[in-house]
Amino acid sequence: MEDEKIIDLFFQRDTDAINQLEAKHGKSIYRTAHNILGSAQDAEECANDTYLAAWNTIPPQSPAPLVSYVCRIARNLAIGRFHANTAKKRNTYYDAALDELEDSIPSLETVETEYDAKELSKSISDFLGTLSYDERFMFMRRYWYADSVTAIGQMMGLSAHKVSVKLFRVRERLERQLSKEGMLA
Amino acid sequence: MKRELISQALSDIDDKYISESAKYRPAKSGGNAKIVRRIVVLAAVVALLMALGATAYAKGWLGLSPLVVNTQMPLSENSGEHDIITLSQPQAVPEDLPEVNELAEKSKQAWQEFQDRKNQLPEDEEYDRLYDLIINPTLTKYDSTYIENGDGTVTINYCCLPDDFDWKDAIGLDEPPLEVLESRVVSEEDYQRFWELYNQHTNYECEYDFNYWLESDDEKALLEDVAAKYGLNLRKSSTVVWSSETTGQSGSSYYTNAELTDMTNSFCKGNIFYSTPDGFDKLYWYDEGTFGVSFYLPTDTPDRLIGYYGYNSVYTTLSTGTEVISGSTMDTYQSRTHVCPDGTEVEVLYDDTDAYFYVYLDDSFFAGHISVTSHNFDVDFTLDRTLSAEEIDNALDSINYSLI
Repeated sequence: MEDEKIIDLFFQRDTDAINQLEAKHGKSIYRTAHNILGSAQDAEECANDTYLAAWNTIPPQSPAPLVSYVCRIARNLAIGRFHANTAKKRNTYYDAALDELEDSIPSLETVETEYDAKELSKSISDFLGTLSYDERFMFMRRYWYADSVTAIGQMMGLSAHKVSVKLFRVRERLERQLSKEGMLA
Repeated sequence: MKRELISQALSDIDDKYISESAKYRPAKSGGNAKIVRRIVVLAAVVALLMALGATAYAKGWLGLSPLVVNTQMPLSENSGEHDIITLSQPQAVPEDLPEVNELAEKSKQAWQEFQDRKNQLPEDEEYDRLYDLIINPTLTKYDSTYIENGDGTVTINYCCLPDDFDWKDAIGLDEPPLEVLESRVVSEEDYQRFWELYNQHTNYECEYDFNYWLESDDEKALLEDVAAKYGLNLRKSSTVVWSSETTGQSGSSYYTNAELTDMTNSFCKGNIFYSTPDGFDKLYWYDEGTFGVSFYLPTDTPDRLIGYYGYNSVYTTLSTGTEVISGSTMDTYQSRTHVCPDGTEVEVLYDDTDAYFYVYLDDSFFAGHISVTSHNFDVDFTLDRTLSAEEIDNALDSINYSLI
């Protein structure tokens, strides 16, 4: 079913909207949650919470594209649950992805109080616009969807090592970009 | 703090980048590598679990093996190794339950046979031909580029890195220096058809539960054949319902806690709840008797709830064993037996924050997870997540297992 028709079902308060949403984007939602949470049980619950959140927010929202809207919800819910679940256990793809980014922009810490997340987010979005599609795809899959480098390599037909090296270079460019914008000390 | 800042900044990234990376799509010109394979992370996990299945009982802790699928499986490249716990298939049935063991083994054998025979299914020749034509992993030593020629054809350059290439030299370059090993020109028809078939292979849907990871009608028919051979049922799609009281929502999928209690009981031999739960996360079920229920029990602390997730696997249903799994390091877990009010002995595996339990019933294996949670899963670092023995026992005692 097309996204517009699914949204129509939400507007008509037809609960089949949730079934159709699950059929169309369920795998993406589940995968996003699973990558962050590392647990099928938690991911399944998070996916269901995502359907509920979509039900609660559409209408008034009429998101386009729908996939990014629901994946964003899934990611936010998963991160909330991730913090709750893993206060003492750090073991998911999301941990590894955050570690990489944290290590690649070491001096961010010294100025973080001067720049809020939205400014950093805008800088990262601007930076993404300067990348090739493949570089962007790798960056987003790794740091937004929290895929493992192996999984990204499998999606793109590259070795994990190759993905790691390319991501390393992208992170270096990100650091330079942030430094140029005065985001880093 | 920096970690949270980065995490929040990533959450706010422009929508267009999220949607464009939901699925890998090749650029039509001047792009980089375009080799794509059918991969789903959990499918890989399933395959790995199958491959490692023989080691399922390696550790042999007292009481642990029935839930531990395999040991020491890395969850990510940079993480340590973790034990995989299945809540949906008994892994090591006691010798004094030969009939249960026979059914559990039958399910495992059926899934293994399905995997083996799936590997022998005839390949999609057109897809394979186009895969070799367009992707050609043999030729692609490092990368490939696709260039539209303007006349409908596409030139593919299969590239490698120079022999003396050192990644240190590439730092700061936009692209590493590539050497074209071979080029080929493909028709627009072949190029488009390939991606059409690729999408067909990767987006297959049918009436059976997605946990079987089917990708084609042939695989679906094979699964049905194997299930029939072993006399096992297959799960179709599930129905999920939520609590109107917990969520504040109304509609055809929302029921009061009392109604959800009754609905759960309708899959059982009687009322399994000693009292109506404080709230439900969800209830879901399949038409052959498998169901999952997630509910909350109150504690003395507001918004600190005990979450109870139970999954009932019918012995006569073909299970992959990976429908509901958790990852944890079981070295620190202890095991004990708890006798519930109805006299049922439940095996409990627990550490400071999590408890897993299981019980062999006449027709099914009921397993679950107990942990501290909150209604909205808000980030709350102050929430005490330590589970006391009393809280575990109270949660276990909330169900009458003999009526499942």
